[in-house]
Amino acid sequence: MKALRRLITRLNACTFGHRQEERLRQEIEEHLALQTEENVRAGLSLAEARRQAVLKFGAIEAIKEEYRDQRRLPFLETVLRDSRYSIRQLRKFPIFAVTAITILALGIGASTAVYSVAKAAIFAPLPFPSPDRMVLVFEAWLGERFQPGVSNLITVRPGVYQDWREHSHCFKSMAAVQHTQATIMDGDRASVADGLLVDDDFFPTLGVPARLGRYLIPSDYGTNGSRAVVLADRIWRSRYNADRSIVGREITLNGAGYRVVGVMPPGFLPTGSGSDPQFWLPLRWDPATKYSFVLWGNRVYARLNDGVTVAQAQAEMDTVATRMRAARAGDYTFGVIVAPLDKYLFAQHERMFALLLIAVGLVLLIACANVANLFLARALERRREFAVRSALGASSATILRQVLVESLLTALGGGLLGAALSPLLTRPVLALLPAASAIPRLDQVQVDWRVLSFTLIISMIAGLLFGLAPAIRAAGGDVSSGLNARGRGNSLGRSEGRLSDALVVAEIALSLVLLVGGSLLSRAFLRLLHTDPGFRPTKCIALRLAIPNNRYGSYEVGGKNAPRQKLYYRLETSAQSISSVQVAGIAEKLPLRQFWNPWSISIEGRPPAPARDRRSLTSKRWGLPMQGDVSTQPVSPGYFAALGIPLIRGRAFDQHDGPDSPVVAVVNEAMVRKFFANEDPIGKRIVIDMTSYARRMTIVGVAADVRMEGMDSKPLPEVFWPMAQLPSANAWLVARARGDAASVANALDRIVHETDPQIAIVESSMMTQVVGDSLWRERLSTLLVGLFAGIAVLIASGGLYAVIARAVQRRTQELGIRIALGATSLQVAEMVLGHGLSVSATGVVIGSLVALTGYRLLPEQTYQLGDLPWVFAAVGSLLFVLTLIACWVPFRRAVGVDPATTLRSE
Amino acid sequence: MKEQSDVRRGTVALMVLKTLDVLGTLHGYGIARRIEQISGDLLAVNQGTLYLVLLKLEQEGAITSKWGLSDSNRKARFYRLTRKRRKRLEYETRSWEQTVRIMGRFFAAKVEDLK
Repeated sequence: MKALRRLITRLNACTFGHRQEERLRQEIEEHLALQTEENVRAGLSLAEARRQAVLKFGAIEAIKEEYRDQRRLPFLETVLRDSRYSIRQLRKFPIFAVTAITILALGIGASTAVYSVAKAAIFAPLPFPSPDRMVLVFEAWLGERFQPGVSNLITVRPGVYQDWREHSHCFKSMAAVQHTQATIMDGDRASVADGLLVDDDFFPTLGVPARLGRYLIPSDYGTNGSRAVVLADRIWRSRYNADRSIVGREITLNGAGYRVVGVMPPGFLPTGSGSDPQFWLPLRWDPATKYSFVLWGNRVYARLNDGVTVAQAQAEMDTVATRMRAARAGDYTFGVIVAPLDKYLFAQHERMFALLLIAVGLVLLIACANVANLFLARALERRREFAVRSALGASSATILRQVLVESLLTALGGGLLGAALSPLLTRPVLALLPAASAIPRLDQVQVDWRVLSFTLIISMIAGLLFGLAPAIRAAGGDVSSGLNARGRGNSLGRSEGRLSDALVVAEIALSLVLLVGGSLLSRAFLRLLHTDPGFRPTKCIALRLAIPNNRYGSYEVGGKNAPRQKLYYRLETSAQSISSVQVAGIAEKLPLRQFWNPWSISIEGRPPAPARDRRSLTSKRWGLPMQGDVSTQPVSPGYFAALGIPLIRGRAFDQHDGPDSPVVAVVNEAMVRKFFANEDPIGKRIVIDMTSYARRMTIVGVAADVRMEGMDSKPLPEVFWPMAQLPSANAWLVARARGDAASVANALDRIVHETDPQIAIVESSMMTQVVGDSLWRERLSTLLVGLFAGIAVLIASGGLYAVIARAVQRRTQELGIRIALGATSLQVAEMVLGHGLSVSATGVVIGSLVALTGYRLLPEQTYQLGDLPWVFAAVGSLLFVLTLIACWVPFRRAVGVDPATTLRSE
Repeated sequence: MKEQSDVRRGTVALMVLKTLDVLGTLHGYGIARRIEQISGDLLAVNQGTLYLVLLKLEQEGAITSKWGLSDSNRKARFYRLTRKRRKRLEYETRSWEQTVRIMGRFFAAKVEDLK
């Protein structure tokens, strides 16, 4: 308390003037007068009495000084005084200040922008209690383990979920959710929202209260209960204008009324799928399917018991799965994966953000090195000033502090400007991230206090980084040589020269690292861009349709579904009838947008595949020997032509492959390579175990391979069958236009709407766009690292130029003498260029060594070792050319030195 | 070095407080004289430091000060103990006496042990 009270009084004293010092002076005066009187009374002469009094009092000035220090906060005052002085200094040299602040703002602004995106996407904790205790539990092929970004997770069957609940002990609670979609009508326009069906343990497991109203409670799950829905913050704002009276009102989803019981807070539960749920409905288990072992589609959230680690939970679930496999052979051929929720959502993006943060950190470092050089040059210009000040009694600590305060203020200025600039970079970055990127929480990117404190911290670190060396130089200057220095800064000591050379070497080395990284990334990007996707994206457009189950029936066990078959047929024929459409088709899946979702296949007349392929088992359900896995999808007759997928052999589907004719199949080349290496596949009969049904099909054609999972993925073995025979629940309408693909978008939109206004178009994309979006990661890293490398090279070249120019300026007299003694331009060039080239060559060598060890930070598939020599050669020559350009002006100036003038100015 | 002067300044502070407790309102020179009289030449070396102690005590709220006229009709700064502090002083005096007693016994015992 005492200390606090003193602090407050002292703070006050800092702001109130000098009255207090006057008081001390008077007190001392009074004291001495009284003491003198006393001494006179004791018999001393007046002069002696006064002298004795002063002696007895002690060193008056020292007391006064200590009194001042004790009365106020000397440190704060010094800093304030230094700041005022620094601002005056910076204002006196506006070009210097503006240059330094701008360079820093580039580095700090870019860092802030990247950090603000990374923070929202992956750093910020999930918005519920103890998010690190939350896991997702998946089924998986035996022996598979959780790996971020690897699609080895299989959604859970209801029967398996019930078994887990019954037999596991490591979880406090478990909850199952199913993805669902709701068609919402606005007048006669349909739109669609993603949602989740959640069981009654879901909200308590996550433990997040509703921001408005309440979440779903057990009474909402009764069969005769009202239909309750909980809305997400986003749809509440976008569709219901953040109306607080929404709770209790009824809204219409899929043509049925639901009562809104609550609204969840923003950012609640990202799913990592790119489309976060907009609403939550009660998941009512159908008694017929509650224990089903044929329906996949549940995601299981679980909260770990206190003290249980993820590894322990995984171990327990492994034993549960082993027991179940023994007890329920046939139904239970899978293992379990326990995935930490935060890792599941964020880990796959960590590497890219780490890469971007490193790149932007390098830019900041280069900016610091550059500004350090500016300060160093200025410290030299101010040598006289520092020398005078230290001759007048300033300690070297005072000068050090003074210069440091100046650089910290500059850094702060750079930080402020950088924070203001960062949205200029954030917005385009966000625009480069398609929904397909599945990066969570991008709608929550904002500059908040966390981001600002990050900016502040990196600004201060930057200030120390670039301020310390010049400050130490300034403080350590020799007084006499400083005072003797003629004029300004024309005597650059050898060690200062070396220091600023070293800083430029560092700048060039770091730029080279960025250039190499950017080049490798862009090579990879271009290579992928020019990879043949297996279809012709130009003139091709794809519409993703949401077919309402309440009108067309859900996906039936057995695979037949007459209403959907008719709908798809109508959609395809009406799309074909548009004059600007060359050909149209319907498919379950779109290339580049799929994940490997394997189904077991049996080829008639073959024994089961050898046991080493653990996925090839005899299907107990159908009693068939299985040979391996394929990817499957139904497509309509126009599909291959619409996407421009060449047919290699046999035929495509046609209108004769109807619901009642024998089921036929087209396979791709990868499928032929895997299963029919030395045989003719045409006419072969296969059965695919779709778990709930298995139909025999006859292969009638072979299509070319298409990259289904991404441009860098290997083609999967695929089997297609006619939409008319076994239709799918999902549907993409794909059309090839006669002219520009965009020109048919409206017409297709219209025919979908005319066919059924309740069919929503979830997405409408040119296939060229789909190709571009699938490369978002490569495109983003290439553009950003490229941009950063560009900034870096600009700053570094500027730094090189400044150092060479200064060296020439410093040696003006020497050059004058040399030229007077007959040095040729060539010899002058040797001096100037030699300096520039040795600096930049050192930078290139050091940078190359760093780059050679550092390129492994890039994702493996990104770089090809064969690129490295080319990249180094290209980057090296670019830096060589830039060095020549940076040296050109100083060289011209050096050659132009007039010996007469320089020598006379001596 | 620093510690030593802190301890001394701490004892001076207590002396100042006790002086003001006994004599009521007093100016800086008066306090200095009084302490000098009682303590011999403890303060004789450097009377100026007294004003640092006074400032610290005032900042802590132990004493207050205001301008007044001295005996010789000169303007002087008079110091007074605050009421709150007066109560605590009694306790502090006792605890100081106790400390001194303990230290004294401790040193005495040590000297005898050595013999």
